[in-house]
Amino acid sequence: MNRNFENIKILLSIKRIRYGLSILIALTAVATLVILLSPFKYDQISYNVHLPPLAPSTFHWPHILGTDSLGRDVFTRISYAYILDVSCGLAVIALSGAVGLVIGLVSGYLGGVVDGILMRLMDILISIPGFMLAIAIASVFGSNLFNAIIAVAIVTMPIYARLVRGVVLSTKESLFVLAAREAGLGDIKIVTKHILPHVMPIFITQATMELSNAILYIATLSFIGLGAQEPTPEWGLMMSVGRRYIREAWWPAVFPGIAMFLTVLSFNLIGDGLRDYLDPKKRLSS
Amino acid sequence: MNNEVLVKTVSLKKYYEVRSKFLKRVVGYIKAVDGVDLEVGRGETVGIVGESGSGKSTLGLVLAKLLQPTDGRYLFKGIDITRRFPQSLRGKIRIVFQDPYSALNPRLRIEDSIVEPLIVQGYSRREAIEKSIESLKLVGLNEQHLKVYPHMLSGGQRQRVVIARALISEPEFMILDEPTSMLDVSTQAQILQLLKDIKIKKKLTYLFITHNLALARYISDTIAVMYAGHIVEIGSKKNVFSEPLHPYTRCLISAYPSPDPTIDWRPEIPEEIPAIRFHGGGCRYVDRCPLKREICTRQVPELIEVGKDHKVRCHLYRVP
Amino acid sequence: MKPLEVRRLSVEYLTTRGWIRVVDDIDIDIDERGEILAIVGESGCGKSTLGLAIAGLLPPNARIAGGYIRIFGKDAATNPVKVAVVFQDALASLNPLLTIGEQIAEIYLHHFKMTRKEAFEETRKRLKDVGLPDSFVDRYPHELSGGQRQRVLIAMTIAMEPELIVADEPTTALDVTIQAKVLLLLKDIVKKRGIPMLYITHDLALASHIADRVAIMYAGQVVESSDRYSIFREPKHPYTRALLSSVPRIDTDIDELYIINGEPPLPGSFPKGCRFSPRCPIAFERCFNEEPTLKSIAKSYIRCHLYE
Repeated sequence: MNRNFENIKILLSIKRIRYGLSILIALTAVATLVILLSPFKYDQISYNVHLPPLAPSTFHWPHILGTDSLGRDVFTRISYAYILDVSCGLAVIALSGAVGLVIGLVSGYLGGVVDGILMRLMDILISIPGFMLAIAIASVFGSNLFNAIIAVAIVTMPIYARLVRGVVLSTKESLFVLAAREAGLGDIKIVTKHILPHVMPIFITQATMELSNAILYIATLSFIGLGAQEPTPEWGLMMSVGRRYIREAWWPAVFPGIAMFLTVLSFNLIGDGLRDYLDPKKRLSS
Repeated sequence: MNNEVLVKTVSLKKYYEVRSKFLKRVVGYIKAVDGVDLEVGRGETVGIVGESGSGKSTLGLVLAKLLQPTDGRYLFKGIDITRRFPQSLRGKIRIVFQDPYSALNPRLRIEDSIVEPLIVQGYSRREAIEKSIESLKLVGLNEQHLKVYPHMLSGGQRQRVVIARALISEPEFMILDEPTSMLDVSTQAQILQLLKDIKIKKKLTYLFITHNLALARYISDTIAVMYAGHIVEIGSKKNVFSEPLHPYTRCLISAYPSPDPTIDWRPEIPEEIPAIRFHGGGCRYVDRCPLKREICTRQVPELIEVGKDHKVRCHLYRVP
Repeated sequence: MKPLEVRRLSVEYLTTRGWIRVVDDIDIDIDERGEILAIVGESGCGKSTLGLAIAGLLPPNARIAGGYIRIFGKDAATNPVKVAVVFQDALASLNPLLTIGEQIAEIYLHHFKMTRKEAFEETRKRLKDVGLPDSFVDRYPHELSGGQRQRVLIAMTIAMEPELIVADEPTTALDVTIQAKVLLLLKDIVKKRGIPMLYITHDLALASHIADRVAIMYAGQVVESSDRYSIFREPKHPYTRALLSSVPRIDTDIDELYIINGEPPLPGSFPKGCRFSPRCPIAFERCFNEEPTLKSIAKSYIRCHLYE
């Protein structure tokens, strides 16, 4: 366990990870506080339409970020949206990551015909524009967040598959894998005990970076109407609706954008920092 | 030395197919191991000596059951294990590789690596760890080394761990593929002594693969010289060195300087010929041999016995 | 002018633990043109770093922390000196996209400003020098065997017309038979052309046949230095003796190799006093506390309390 503490210390010493983590923690803290303490509900419609930021309300505190076209408090909605969007992002990477990981492992390890078929499949998937697929799914199964998650997961899955496959290909030729085989280890054990630990760091780094992409993707789909539907508090949706009245009231469109930007930035920083952690560390320790 | 033949191979072959680029048709073969007849007695150390391309490492991998031979037979303790390797015999044949730096998974602690052969055989983790401590003691390490990661150990220590992992399944036959070539001179001497000691303690039989003829001379009882997939000379250490028969053996011996500078170093090395592939007929050494004759280009010589415990594969010699 | 004069040379590397001394206060000499000095040692002794320092090829995280290197009287730190290096890995040192001929000719075209015709003429001569046929001019590195590639490197080295050659384990990656040919070729060329050479190796037997003088390095220091015959006939330092008796020999049967206990110390953790003392079979109290200095006895140098 000592080694893990060492690793965490090293991770935290990387500036990017510190900054990213700080922003993330700050955002999470703010969102949690707002959700717990806000007197407004996220779908609470009122006659107080397009009130500017810091406008007083009938409750004990003002609409800090104003209200939208249906009189709902923007700050409250953004905070719920934070939880929702990040959760959706996590759902996407969990789904695409899990499937991509398995495909990459199987494809890389078995090689031959299986590898050929799976990789061609990945090629097909990766060439489908995500929006086309989302539209197709939406037209058959309906436009909602769940379907949007599925669409994005399908389209981003090949990234993991390819990445994992690459690591598996190089690792499976290592001497210690041969030694493990010589010791009598079966294929499954070899993959889980020897190859997987080499795959995980790169996989996790990629997943972290993909998380921000996933959030953006979901938000974009919602923006064009294929994802979240009213009254769901979702950044893309909020920006889409707010866009129409942007001349009269900029805040219902801009603040969700800022929140999304900060969230995506924090995950990008963390992912970037993780990538640095993986690379030079190996050089130093040898 | 016992007369029991522990390991026997009959015309063992390992060919690799070479395919054309477009239609993937087989256009030829790389004959890495091309008909090796070997007999290793229990308690013996056979030194397999060869340069790159000789097939010695491939032979080692085949004997370790990591590669399936293309043809020929492999008998262990009289049992034919060419196609099927019974579970009861796994663990009796173990291999130690050359590179201690990559033979151990850098992300696993020593204890996780070393117990593998036993876990596979069905031992519980606790039993396996107990046995691994015994094994570590045999190689001059101790319990503390279980918890560390490979990068914390020196090259010599890592190789000891690799040897301990091989010993843990109570092998009878150990294949050592250049076990010291990546180690320092002083470490090499230690590891060689260790190997000699445990051979006696654990009643082992060794196949020692090396490119270093001087090393083979030190550690082996029997020397087998390999060239292009064939054994070209094999015999007791005394016979091979006092009377090297095959032109290649003589060439090899001359390539090593004595540390004594007053003994002139006059290597007799013919020109190098790159890759050995798609061989037609005839002796493999014919392109480089200074004593070649017409028959050498046509016919592969047989491995014939020219004396007690001395065989050579060369047209220069006839059965006496 | 002596081809090589190194005095009190120290080289340090910058690591996460600060500056670590890898070469410590070294004195070595090459007295005549065409003389070969071998530096023999195990890993971690600093021999490769010494070679790099002399060749002026230290990486950015290394520095010369003391002493000087004079090549034919010129201070190597401030003057441009032509030192050619022959590395171990020929494949990495050759450009895979250019033919052998182009790579050798390039030296003549750029360094010596010759015309293409002249350059290729010289190139063919160099190929002949190293025993390779003319046809190799049009071959690519990957089409050659390891030994042939190493010979190309040697050809390029001669083409540079260097003042000094540093050969760092130039044949370790080659088969033994090829190694013999390449090394003797290198020695022949160097002797014929009178180029001084520093030959770095871990193999004492090779050193005693290739070099005129041999210096044994241990833990960043020279512990013994002598001519090739004396090193074998009358080795003085316990480490030299241990090295000689711990290696298998081709010409005789040995019952037991001499074992030096422990492992060579790494830079940054050199022992106190004599650096070999923890492993020395005849160390006495003074050895553990006081570092011996390099003394000269006849034409040899020895760093050991037994000889003071």
